[in-house]
Amino acid sequence: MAGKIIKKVLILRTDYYGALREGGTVTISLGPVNSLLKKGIECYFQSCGINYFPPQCKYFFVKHSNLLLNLPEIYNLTYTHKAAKTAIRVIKDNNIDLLFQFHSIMNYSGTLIKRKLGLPFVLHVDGVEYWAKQNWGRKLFLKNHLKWAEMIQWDTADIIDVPSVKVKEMIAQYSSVDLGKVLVNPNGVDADKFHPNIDTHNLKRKLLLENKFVLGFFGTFGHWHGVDILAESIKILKNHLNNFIVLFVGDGVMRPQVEEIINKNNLGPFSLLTGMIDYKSIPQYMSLCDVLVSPCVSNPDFDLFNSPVKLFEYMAMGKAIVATDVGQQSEIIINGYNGILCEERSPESLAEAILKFYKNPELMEKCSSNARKDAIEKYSWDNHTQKILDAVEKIL
Amino acid sequence: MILLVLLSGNADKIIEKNSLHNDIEIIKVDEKDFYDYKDFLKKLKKRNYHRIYYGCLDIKFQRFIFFMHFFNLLSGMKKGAIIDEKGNRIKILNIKTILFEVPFFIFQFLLGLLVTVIYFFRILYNKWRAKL
Repeated sequence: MAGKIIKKVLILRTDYYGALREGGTVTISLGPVNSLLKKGIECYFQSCGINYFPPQCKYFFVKHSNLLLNLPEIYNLTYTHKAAKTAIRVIKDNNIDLLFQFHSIMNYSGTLIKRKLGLPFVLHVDGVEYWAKQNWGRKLFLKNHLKWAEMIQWDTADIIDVPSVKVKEMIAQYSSVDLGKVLVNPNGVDADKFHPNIDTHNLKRKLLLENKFVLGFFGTFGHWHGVDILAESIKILKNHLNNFIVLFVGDGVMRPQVEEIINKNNLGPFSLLTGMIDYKSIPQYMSLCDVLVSPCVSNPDFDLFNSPVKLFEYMAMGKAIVATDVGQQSEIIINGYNGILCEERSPESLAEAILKFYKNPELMEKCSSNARKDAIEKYSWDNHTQKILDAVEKIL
Repeated sequence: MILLVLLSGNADKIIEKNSLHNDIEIIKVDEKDFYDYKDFLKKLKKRNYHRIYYGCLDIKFQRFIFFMHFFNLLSGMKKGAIIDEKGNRIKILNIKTILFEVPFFIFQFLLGLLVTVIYFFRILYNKWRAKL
């Protein structure tokens, strides 16, 4: 229905992602764009980084100031007006019906565009930047600029699209915004790209994984991914399993800790770290695995608030999943139905859940097919974008 | 021994494209680690490296170039470079850091202060308008 009203969308990404082509931040914009294109909606994308979109999506590059690239908070400030100026021209020239912006620090471009042109404005907020900078950043500079810019955007947006209830709660905690316009809309997956029927014969042989029970972790090795807990669990698993390997795909700040655990405990024969791989190859690597693991951990003073894209990809692959009982994972994984939940920060609990699957192939089969079914029915990008379009239709 | 400070991208690709065949130690760091300059400098001085390379996905999109020049200077290293997955490189020379990069950064910093003040009022005005 709504697709008939909205014909052209400008997607604005204002954060500095540089040359990054892989990872969650790319997927959460690529997934919706592909889905909108499938629905016959024309997509225009404006950003300051590399273009990772299909050619049907028209791309506009607006660079950050080279002069201020050593001062991140400040170049983000000046980018607000620069990005808005180009976006206003693109919207006018192409008769665009909807503005969709990915929220980023110190930026209120969407507000300036909305005020000038009056078109519907959807703001996608993955988390409160003020909170993230305070808790994850090394130092918080210009905290009033940051907090106020964020509030301006929340006040002006017609719809605030958030991936989880926790993010909605965070917004409520930091502002007096009308929560009626906050749409809780989990991230999703492209179930045509992530599916169970992928031939892995050659890759399995190349990586020497034939006849092995393969466990897999995919992600950016961030503090909240709990990848070190998975490495710790290998110590327990090796006492119970003979022929197994843990495949660590990705890279990031926690990699040295993971390598240290592996080297200190002589776990080399049971682990394989691939580093970063192309996003296109990820389904094939996931397909190698018998069990996929999401060992995420809570934040120090706030439960895990993100919507783990990787979990939806695991589900669409039709694989047995072990996930920690935190944040949105607790809502999505139904213990014994589409996966197994385990305690966070507990290598023992993680190993126990993996062994449960190993010892019970029927449970594995049941959980795998239910996970795939749920991914298609509830967590596809098509569902995700349809929810946004329906919400926009209501305000038009 | 060469030290490759991996900021982003794939270490193997960076090594291959830049023909780094010598004995290499790789450390993965986040750009945020530059804030903890003491810890970071310790890592650079851990061994007697004869060259430090900063590896990234694409130099064209790389931030904090000044800090890489500056850390090289502070670590007492004479040579180094910022390199990427495509084989591009920016040479790091201490003389260039002292004569060009440091004065230019001071200029950037002063400009940044001005921008901060201007945007304080711009944001305040927009905050007021958003509440209307």
